[in-house]
Amino acid sequence: MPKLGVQSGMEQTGLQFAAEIYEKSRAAEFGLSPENFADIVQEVTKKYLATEASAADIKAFVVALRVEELVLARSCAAGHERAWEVFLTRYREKLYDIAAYIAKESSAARELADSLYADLYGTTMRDGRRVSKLASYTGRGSLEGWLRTVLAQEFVNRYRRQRRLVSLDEETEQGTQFPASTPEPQTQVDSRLAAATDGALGELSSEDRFILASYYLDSRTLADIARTLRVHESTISRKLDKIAKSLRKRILAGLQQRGMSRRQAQEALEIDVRDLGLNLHSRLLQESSHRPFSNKEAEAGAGKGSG
Amino acid sequence: MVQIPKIGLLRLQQGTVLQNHPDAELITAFIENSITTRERTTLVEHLSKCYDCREIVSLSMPERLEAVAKPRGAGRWLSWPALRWAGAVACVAVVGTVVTLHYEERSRSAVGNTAQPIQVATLDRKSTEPASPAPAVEKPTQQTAAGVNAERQVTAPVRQKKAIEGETSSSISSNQTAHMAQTEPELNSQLQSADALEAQNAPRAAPSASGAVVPGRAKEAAPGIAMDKTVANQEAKAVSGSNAMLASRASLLPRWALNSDGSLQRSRDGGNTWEIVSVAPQSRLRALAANGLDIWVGGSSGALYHSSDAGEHWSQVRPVVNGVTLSADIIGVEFPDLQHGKISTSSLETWTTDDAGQHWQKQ
Repeated sequence: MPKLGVQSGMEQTGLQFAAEIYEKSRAAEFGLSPENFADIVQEVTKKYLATEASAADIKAFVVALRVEELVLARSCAAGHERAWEVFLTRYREKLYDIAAYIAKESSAARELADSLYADLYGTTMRDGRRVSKLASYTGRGSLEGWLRTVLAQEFVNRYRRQRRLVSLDEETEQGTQFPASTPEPQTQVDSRLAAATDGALGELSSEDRFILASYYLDSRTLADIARTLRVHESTISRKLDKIAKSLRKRILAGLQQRGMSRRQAQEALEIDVRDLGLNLHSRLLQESSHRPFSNKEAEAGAGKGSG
Repeated sequence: MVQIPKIGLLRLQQGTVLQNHPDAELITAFIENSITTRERTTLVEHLSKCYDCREIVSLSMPERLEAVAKPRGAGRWLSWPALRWAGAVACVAVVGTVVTLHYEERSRSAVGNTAQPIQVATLDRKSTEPASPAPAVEKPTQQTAAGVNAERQVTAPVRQKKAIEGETSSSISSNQTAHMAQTEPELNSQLQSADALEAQNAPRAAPSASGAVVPGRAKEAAPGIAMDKTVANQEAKAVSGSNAMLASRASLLPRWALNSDGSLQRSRDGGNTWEIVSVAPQSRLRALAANGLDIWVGGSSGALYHSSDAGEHWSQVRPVVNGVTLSADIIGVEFPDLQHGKISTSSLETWTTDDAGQHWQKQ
């Protein structure tokens, strides 16, 4: 199959595939013409496919899209009333259920769901057009799954913001000046140990590192990790054992390469970092110096092409 | 479990990433396994270093999504020729036992499994008036189990909120038995290609040409392939317990679910394996209600189907009131008993019946 540039691929093959799935998408019910639909599909394809993609790749990508949900979301973003009726009928209850599952507390869940509804509907205007979060949905996954993820992002953002605000409020109520943050004590870790550990961790695959971080840093259960990676729980258990043993061996080997004897390396590895005056708890909390998760750029760019 | 060195824990969490977070679409595609291999690698790399994104992924996981049952280690076991053949023989024994049990139960059953066509009548009456024997307006459509496209899947589906577990009696139709007998040669041939089965477990970038499968979620396999994969794995571990397990499973009523594609799924073994039941290929089903052997499913454009034998035979039901046929998308189906039911539509209509769908009222 000859490779085609995305531009020509979308012109010749992407549009053809879009026409094939137009009926499946039921776009006509929401007033979307085949041209509008093709524009949406083209926009999504350009966002995710490489610069040069074969016709087979384009077709496979387009066919796998959740076109009916994509059309529904984009029609809602464009303000189509019928689309909103369908959306509310299908997802209103689910949204509150998902929020309840995420927030675990009813009032917080309701507030979370209501605020997302406002974003989905588009209460802010830009250049005279309503900006809806639904405009950023691309049909890669189910709309329900996307709503779940967006809710989770919003929840995590809120929790991060609230944590900082609560800290400030508590300090003000107590009538104390907000203290400067305590400088973290310098670690006394042997540089060879740090280097050997970094080297060993660097050799891990991203999946192994993810498993380690999920289990040891996030305290997730084996079942949770297995669900995320779509493997059996016993697989995660075996992997953790294997990774831990392998990590230990590699660190020991790294230390010996850096001049330590085997005994010295083993002793160095047994040092409890709590003895070094480190505040692990503070290290586990991420500082929110980065911007919250947002699809606003995608909303602004994706607001066209529908309606 | 072996603990990692504490210095490893410290350095692990020091490698936190605070930028270039994946967007919601990519995270959703990852969770639903509709992501390319390249994207997955990049995403997992980010997740391995970003606590917040891991938290988001964890919160975004559907409550009822279950992990794939096949342990990775089993692939290596099946590579041993002796064990592979032992698995094949065990599977044949299991299937033979199941077929024998079904034949025995069928012969004991006093009630046949023939479908009773639903007579749908137009009726223009108030709810207090007794039902008049109006003639049937719509001829119901029957579908037999022979026409059921039983695509067996490895993973348990994501269950819709209205999915209700039902129970079935021990009677199994001859069509179902014949269908299962037909899958035996297919089971044997599929067991010999265990490597191909293992390859199917990896997330794929593109679906099959038919477009009926989203990558990695529903395995588009020949009938019986997923069952023999699950059974072969179990039998490799404990052959002696299989007969008792099958006996208990045979007595379970089927469970029902609707997947996000709008297809109806049925499990006959307590949710371990699922098959798609092709009721209305042109419709996206949105709601179901099951009551013992009785099941109602409803979906787009007023598609409403009923089966009184656990999905072996189906009849299409077209509620009509005052000459108006139900045509809106059905989003809710409730049948607390065999006679009384309620249909909710996307146009906020409510259709009710007191006689198992023979006559309807609209609110």
